[in-house]
Amino acid sequence: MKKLLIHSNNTSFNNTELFPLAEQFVFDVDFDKDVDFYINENLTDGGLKLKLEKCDIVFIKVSLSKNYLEYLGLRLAYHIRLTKSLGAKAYMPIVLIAEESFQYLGLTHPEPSILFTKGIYLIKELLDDYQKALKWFADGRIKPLDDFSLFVNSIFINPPANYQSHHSIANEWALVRYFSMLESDDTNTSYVSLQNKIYDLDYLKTLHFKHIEAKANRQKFNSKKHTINAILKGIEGKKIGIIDDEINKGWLEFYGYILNKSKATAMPFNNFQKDETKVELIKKIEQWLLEIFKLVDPIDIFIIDLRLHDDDFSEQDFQNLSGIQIIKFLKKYNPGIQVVVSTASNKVWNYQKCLDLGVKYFSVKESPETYNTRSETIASFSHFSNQLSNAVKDVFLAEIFRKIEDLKKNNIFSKITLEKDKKSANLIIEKNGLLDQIFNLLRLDNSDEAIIHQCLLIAFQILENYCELGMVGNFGSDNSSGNRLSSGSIWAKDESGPKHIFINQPNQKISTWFELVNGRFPFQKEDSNETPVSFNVFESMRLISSYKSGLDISSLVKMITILYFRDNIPKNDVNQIMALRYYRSNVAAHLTGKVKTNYRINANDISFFIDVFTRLFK
Amino acid sequence: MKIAIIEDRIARLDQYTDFELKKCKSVSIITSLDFDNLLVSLKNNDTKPLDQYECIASHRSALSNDIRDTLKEYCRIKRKPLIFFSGGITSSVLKDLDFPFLHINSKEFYAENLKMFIEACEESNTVNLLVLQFGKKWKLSLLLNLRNNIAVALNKKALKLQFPDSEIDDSELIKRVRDLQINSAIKADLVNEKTKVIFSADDLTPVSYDHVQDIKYVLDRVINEMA
Repeated sequence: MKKLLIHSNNTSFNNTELFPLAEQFVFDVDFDKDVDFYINENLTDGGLKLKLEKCDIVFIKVSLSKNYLEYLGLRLAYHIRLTKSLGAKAYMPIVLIAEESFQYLGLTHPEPSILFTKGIYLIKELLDDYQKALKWFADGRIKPLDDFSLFVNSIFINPPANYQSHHSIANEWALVRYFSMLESDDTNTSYVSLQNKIYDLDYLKTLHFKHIEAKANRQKFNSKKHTINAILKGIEGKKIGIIDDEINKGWLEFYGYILNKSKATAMPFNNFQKDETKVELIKKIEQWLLEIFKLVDPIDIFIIDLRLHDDDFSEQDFQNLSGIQIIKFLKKYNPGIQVVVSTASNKVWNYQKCLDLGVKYFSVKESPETYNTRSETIASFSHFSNQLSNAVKDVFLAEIFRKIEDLKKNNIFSKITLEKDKKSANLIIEKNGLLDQIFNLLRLDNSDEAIIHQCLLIAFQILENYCELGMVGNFGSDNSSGNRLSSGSIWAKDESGPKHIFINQPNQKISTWFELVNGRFPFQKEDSNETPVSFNVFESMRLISSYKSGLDISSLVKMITILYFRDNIPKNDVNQIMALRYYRSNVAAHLTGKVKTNYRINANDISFFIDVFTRLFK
Repeated sequence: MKIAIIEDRIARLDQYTDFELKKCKSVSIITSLDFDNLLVSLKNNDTKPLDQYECIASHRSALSNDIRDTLKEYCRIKRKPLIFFSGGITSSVLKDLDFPFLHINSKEFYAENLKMFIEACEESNTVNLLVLQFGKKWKLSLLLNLRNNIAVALNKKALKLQFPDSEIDDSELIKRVRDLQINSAIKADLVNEKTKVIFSADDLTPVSYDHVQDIKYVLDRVINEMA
C-alpha cells in the first residue's frame, strides 16, 4: 500500500513504524508566503506533488500548525481535490486525523463542506484507528472520490476576504477566462506579456479560484467553437483611453493586446496610488484628461470602470462612484466623447442611470456567479467587442461637438449690423440653437432614419438662413417677370465689394456666371422628372436665355451663388448639397415617392454639413 | 500599552472598520508623513521609533522585503508581537516560535476582532494575538491544541508498547504536570473537583493515566460547550 502522512510534527503517526520518512511530508508554511500560495507551490511543482503522485491514500492532520483552530489540514484537502495538475491523484482517499467529530469540525470551521463529500474519512489519533483505516482501504471500504462534478457542486469556498464584493473576483476571473479562450499567439510580445501577467496573478493561486475554475471546466474546451477572436472590427487607428483600477492586475496587458491586434492603441491612466483619497484620485484623473484634451489628436473614446477607488465599494449613492464622477467630467467637457462602461456589476438600474448621463455602451465583465459556459464567455467578449466597435462609430460626435463649439466662439456673425440678420445668425449659433439641435439629435440616436431626416431639415434651414444674410449676398426680384430673380450678387470675403453673379437683362435674357444642369440623381426613380443635379460655371459672364438658365428665386440658386462664388466651396461639395437638397425635399420633408426606397442618408451626410458650416461661418 | 498600525492605505482603514479606531488611545496609526519617516528609519536599520510600542501591525505590501526583514528581526530580538495584514493573505496563520507573528487578511484585520483585541490588550496589558485571529473563540484554539497534545502523547505511549524498539523518548509522554503544557489562559476553565488536585500541584508532580483522563473529560466538555 502506498500511503502518505502530511503533518506538522504534531502527531504520533509520524513514527517511522507507521510511516517511513519517505511517506511523510512536513507542512511548514513559509511565512513570507500566503498559505494558499505555499500549498499551491507544493502541489504544482513542489515536493508534496512528487509524494502524492507516488501514493494511493493520504492521511492529513486536520491541524497543520501550532494554532489548532486554523484547521489548515482541511484547506490542504480542498487544494488536493482541486489541483488539476495532480490528475487522478486528486481524487485519492483523504483520511483526516483529528480528535473532533465531523459535526464538531463542521460547526467550528467556516468552510466545512468538504467534510461531507465522498472520499473523505476521519480517524482519531489512535493506533487502532490507523490500523482500521489501512484495513478498510485494503478491502475497499475506503474509496477515492468517484464523482468530481458532484464534489465541485457540493462544496462552498469563500472568496478571499479582501475581495470587496464579487466585482473584484469578476475582474480577475473574466481576464483569466478570456485569455484561456484566445488563440495562442506566442510570437506576439503583447500576448506573451499578457500571459506572464496572468500567470503571476495572486488570485489564480487561491482556493476560491480553483473551485470556480473546476466548476467552469466541466464543459470541454472545443478549439473550433470556443476561441475568441482578438481582433475587434472597426477600431483601427483609434486611440482608446482606459480608466480602470484593475489596470495593474492584467487588464492593461489584455487591452494592450487586443487593441494592438486590432491596430488601435490603448492609452491607460496608470497612476493609481494606494494611499490616495477618492477626491485626490478623481482630481488626478481629471488632470490627466485635461492634458489629453490639449492634444492635437485627442482621445475621444474611453473604457471606464465605475468603481475606481476602495471607497466606491461601500458607496451607497451611485452618483458618487468615482467612475460616474469621471464620466460626468468627460461629458461636461464634450458630450460627444464616447464611454464604454466596463463593469463587473450587472445591476440593471445602474445602466439606466448611466444612460441618463449620456453613456450608451456597457460591457459587463464575466463573473463566475453569472456565467458558466464557454459559449457565455464568448457572448460576453463578443458583447464587449460590439460595444467598443459601436462606440467607435459614434466618436465623430466628439469632433462635431468641438467644431460646433468652435463655430460658436469664432464666426463671422459678429460683423452683422442688421437686426433681422442678427436674429437669423443667433438662431444658428445660440445655446440650444440649430447647430446644438443637430448635435443633440445625433447624440440621441444617429442610426435612426427619422433623426437623420430631422438633422437634414435643420441643416438646410441653417444654409438657407445663411444665404439670406445681407452680409453674404443680395438677391433682387424683377416684379415685371413674376417671381423671377432680377439679380444675384455676393459680398466678397475680401471685402472688395459686391460681385454680380447673374443679372436679368431685357428680352428674357440673363447675364450669368453659371447655369443649372438638369438630369436625374442616381437615387432618383427612373420615372421621376428631371431636376437640377449640377451646374456649369463659365469663364466669364454670358448672356443666355433666362428661361433656359433655370435661375429663379429658389434657395438652390441662392446656395450655389453664395457657396460656390462667395465661399469657394468646391463644386463637388455643392453638387452633393444639391443631391441632399433633393433628398430633403422628396423624402425628409415630403415623401413624394421620387427616391428609390433602398437609398438612405446617414450621419456622415450630417457631418459633411458641419464641415461645410465650418468653412462658411469662419 | 501601545499598538502601532502601519498603514499606507488609510482609506481602507475607514472603509473596513465600523468603530472609531483612530480614537483608541492605545493605538497609533502610522500613515502619510509618519509612515514615510518610519520607512526611512527602517531602511537605515534604525528601529528606535518602534520601541515605544508593545505590538506592531503593518500592511505587508507597504514594506519592501528588506524592511520586512528588518521589522521581523527587530520583533524576534525584542520578542514583540508582530502582525502582517494584506489583501493577498487568504487564511490567517499565527506562528509563535521566536515571537508571536500573525499573518491575516486586511479585511479580517480591520474587523470586529480588532476592537476586541485592543480592548483585551488594554485590559490585561498583554498582547494576545489569538483574540485578533479568532475573536471570542480564541480560547478554543488553545483547548483544541491541548486535547491534541494529550491524544498524541497517549498514542505515543500505545505505540511504545506496540513497537518497543521505536524511538519514542520519555519526554514525549505525559509523566508529570509540566508535560501537559497547559496554557495559563485556559487553566481556570479546566478546574473541577477531580482536576483541581493536578492544577494545585507543582510542575514536577507525577501525573497518572486517570489524571490525564480526568483532564480530557473536562476538556471535551469545555470544548463542546464552546462550539
